[in-house]
Amino acid sequence: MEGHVGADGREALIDLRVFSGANGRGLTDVRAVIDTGFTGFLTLPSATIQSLSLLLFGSREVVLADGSVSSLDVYRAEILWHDEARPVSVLQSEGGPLIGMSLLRGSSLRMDIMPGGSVKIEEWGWRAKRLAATT
Amino acid sequence: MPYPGHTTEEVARRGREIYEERIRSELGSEAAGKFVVIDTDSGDYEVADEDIEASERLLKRRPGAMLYGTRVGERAAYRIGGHSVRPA
Repeated sequence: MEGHVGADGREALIDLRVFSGANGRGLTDVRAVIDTGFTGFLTLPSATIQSLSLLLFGSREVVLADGSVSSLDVYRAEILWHDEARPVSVLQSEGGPLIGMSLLRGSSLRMDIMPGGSVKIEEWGWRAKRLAATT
Repeated sequence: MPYPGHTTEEVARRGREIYEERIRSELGSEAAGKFVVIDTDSGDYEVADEDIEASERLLKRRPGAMLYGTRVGERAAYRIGGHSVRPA
């Protein structure tokens, strides 16, 4: 999968296709920042979550960069990841969409960090690990 | 408000309480680093590697439950922009 470093050279961006999965038919494309300080899968703003009618998974607490703890709602979605529909938990957050380390697990990430630099995410084993886990 | 009549904070507070007072001591060492999701009404819970598996399994058994989830051994379910290493 491919993305790019933004024009200011300070964010790594990737476009993702997000959909509701089994419980709905909504689909949308989002541009997410790759945040290696985020331990989860994906964050989305409430407008996107509502438009996709995502299934609610309840409340979670989140430790923020300043060490404080906040409560957020979490939902279920699916994303197109290395050509497969992958279920993910989505934290509701009004800042721009983020993707985190749980989503990147099993892939390798390479970035040329300069304005417009290339970003490449290649799977090296997440599909094999997933198959191994189900057998 | 995710669940009608209940704020996100309220569900999280109740869930955290149930976790600290009852569930934490029940979990064995094999649960370390796993994800636990709790029905904040019944106190029923499910442990799995990830949030999504635990949530789906618990909802199958307790449809409509108001859920709280957290990572065993951590203060919270997720970290955004933070750091697990404490300054010396």
